[in-house]
Amino acid sequence: MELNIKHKGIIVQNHYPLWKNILIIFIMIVGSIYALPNLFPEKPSLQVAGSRGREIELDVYNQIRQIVSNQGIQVNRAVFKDGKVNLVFESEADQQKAAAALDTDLGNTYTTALSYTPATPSWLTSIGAQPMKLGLDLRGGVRFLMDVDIKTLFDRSYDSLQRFIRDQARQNGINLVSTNYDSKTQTIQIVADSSNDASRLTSYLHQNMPDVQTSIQGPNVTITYTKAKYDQTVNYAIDQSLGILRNRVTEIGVAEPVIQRQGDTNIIVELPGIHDVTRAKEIIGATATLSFNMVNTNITQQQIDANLIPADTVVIANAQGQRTAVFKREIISGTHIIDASAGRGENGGAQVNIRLNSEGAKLISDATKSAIGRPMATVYSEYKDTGRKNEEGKPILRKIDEIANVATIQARLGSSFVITGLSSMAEANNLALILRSGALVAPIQIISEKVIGPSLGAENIKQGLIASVSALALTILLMLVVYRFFGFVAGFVLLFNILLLVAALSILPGTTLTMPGIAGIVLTIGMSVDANVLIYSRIVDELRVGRSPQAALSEGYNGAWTSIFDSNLTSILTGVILFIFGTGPIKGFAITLCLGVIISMFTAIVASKMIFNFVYGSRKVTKLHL
Amino acid sequence: MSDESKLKEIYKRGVDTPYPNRFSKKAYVLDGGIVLARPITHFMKYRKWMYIFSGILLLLSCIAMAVRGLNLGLDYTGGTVMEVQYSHAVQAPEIGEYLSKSYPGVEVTSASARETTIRIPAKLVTNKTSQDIQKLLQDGIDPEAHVTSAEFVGPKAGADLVYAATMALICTIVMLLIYISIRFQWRLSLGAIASLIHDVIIVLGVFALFQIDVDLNFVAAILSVIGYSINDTIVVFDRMRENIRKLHRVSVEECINISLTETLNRTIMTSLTTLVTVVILLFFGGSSLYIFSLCLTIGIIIGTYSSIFIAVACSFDVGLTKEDMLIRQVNKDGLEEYER
Repeated sequence: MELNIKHKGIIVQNHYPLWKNILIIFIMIVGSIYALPNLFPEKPSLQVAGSRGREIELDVYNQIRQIVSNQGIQVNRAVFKDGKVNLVFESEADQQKAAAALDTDLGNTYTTALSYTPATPSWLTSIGAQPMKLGLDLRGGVRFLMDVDIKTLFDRSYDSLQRFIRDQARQNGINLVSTNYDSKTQTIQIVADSSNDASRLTSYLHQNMPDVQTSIQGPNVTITYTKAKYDQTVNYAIDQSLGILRNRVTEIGVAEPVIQRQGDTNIIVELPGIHDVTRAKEIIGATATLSFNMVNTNITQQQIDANLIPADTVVIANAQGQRTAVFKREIISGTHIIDASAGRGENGGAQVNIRLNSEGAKLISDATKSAIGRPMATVYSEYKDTGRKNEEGKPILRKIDEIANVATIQARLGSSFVITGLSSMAEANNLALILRSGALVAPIQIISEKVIGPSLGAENIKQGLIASVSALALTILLMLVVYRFFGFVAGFVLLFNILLLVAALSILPGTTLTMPGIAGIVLTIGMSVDANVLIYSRIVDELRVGRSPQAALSEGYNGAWTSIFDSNLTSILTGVILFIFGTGPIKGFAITLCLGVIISMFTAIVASKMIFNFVYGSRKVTKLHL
Repeated sequence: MSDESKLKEIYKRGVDTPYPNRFSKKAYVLDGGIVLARPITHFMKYRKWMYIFSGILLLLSCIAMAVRGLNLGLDYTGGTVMEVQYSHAVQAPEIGEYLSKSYPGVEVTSASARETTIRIPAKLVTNKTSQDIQKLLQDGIDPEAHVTSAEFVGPKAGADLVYAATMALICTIVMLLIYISIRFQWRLSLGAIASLIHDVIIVLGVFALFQIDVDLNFVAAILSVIGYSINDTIVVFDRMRENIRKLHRVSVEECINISLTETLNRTIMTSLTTLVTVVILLFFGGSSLYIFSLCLTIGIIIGTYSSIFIAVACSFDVGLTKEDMLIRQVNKDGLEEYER
């Protein structure tokens, strides 16, 4: 787009209106400001918070400060805000020492998380500037890829469904020869007494169970879940797994963890800055178990307080601290639970419906023959790291029990039963949630793990910096040699290209810098100069034909535009495909590449033109310094 | 529409212009107003040799892949890879022998004098493998041996990656096919894709020949090579399109020769600038980016070659004509017109 502006009667080429020049300079300045935080390195820090969301009081804050200074550790900065305490240290050694001291002295009610706090000055943070988040391979830490075992989930679910259908058929007078769950095909195969029975079964199912679909062949009926129900179950299992993992990661004590769904059945857990990977693995993979134990109603409260309890009983407290005596032997455990949902009973009271698998159904049927109307406790157990190690150096885990709920066993129907005695629907919902989460509906397994030691992380950063700076220097040198002054301009705008790229990566949410990301930055250096090369080649062509310098300059930019647009667009599209199919670090590379190319279209074309306009524009020029 | 006259290659040096500069003085001027930086190089005449050369390279690559196979890295086969650092220089074969007593099938290579990379196939791996190996090494080789990084990939994760990588590759090629067909012409897109596939096969061949690890970054690198090679090709196509509109009395073959001659400088220069940065990554990028940078280096060199010699030649040989490069318009009378 040639601007032929008449200025003082002369046709002026190579001129940008004032607003355009100001806008360009403004963008450069803003970009530089937002890139600044990256000059301030991060410092190791500790975040102390109350467990389960409790807030920290001022006296606890003072206690924390006291504990740390007793150890002789100097604190760079201490911030008490929003019920959380953030302590910044000079070195990782200090951070570790303080963490150990706080862990022992503060006890279970508080969690300390290892983290890094950027040392950005406050005037920058107030405008939302922050340094780039560093990925795992630059900071050190561990990355788990976890698989949610959908197959086992459905195996359990179908198994219970199969029993349920059989019971329902019997109750409705439909005669079945056999019901069987085929785990290979994940279908329920039913052979009915006759074709008549088979069609009665299918119509019954159609009416009462919209979640299943049937296919019928003579007396044989095949039953599966509908696709909608299947998808819903999978999504539900993943969401639940995400929730469980989040809770566990909070227990480990890592700030800025990444827990994300990947693909259909996988979850990524990234724990940056973590030092004890074994502990992390144990906690993430640890089982939280659930069990149902009958309450020992023969024990009085005084006996509990005085600790006079018989050998077959154990005293467990609930979240509020109330202690109850329950029999040690559990009736059923959480793994027997398929599903739990809250609802209203016949008399309008809140209750929880629990569905069990075949094994659980048998167990509860045996136990509840005599137990209907008696109180039963739901016990939630977790394995926590005490921080101490046994003689093999393995961490000693402590089993912590908590009573989630004491309720009365009511009716029992086949493979499901109901507990009542809940004070409100809220409590019923809460209990159903705990039952479902404790049951761990689908097992989660670690299928891949990547550990980066922190020293390797620092090494990688150093390498990355050396690579970027050398690439920058060599490219600018090359341009200078071939294109002289124009090459100098290309180098100059290249620097701004990198600056704006760094700024963009810093403020865009969700972007982290990884080694492939650094590769992307270095690649951008090479590719953004391409635009300049195309433009300058064009200008040389025009000069060769004999155009005037002004016209050559202007034509060069115009003519090169289509080439630049086409080639950059294909690069961006390739980057997008890479982003869609790539995982983790590759995504970082794709983002850096795409951003770099887009920004380079701005700096290499518009910014360099502005400079040339300033040097050559609206004057009589005899030669271009090319 | 076109008089396919043979271009008389008589050059006049220097352009007559009121604005002489160092380029116009050294220019080669042809009858018909074509101005070049150098005499026309008859690329199309030599294309047979180019095909033979590329054919040999392709054949060698296929043989290498068939015979030696691609060394699929950990990401695809599953297993554990760990880097161990020692306090003194060690020999990889020694360590390999020592470890293979407990872990048959282990592979140990030297990353540097005091570092080794240890690979353990998936079926031998347990949750504690990295600690176990560290302890073994500390007991038997060097009490200060420690694991600096460890990565474990289960076989399922590997299979997913292969799928994603293949899909990404296919998507990219399809996308480019469509894009170039729209922006230019389908014959050109065929030529472009041919040169791309040529590049990918040769790069794979080199990796197979030298048994270099193919990992996750490799796929990103291949895609980058594709994206990059296309850039070169587009620059040439763009110039061709422009020239065909400008030069009326010139045959397609001459037009192609002229376009290639004209774009030679810029193609080499853009490849050079990117090559410089990639080679720096190769040397300074650290071991994690080595495969990526190597793939890019080879890819850019081969890609430049194929953009110049293969892409256009293929398009020409599937019957590229001048009409193809012009935009067809159907005017109100239903008659076809060519936009010039």
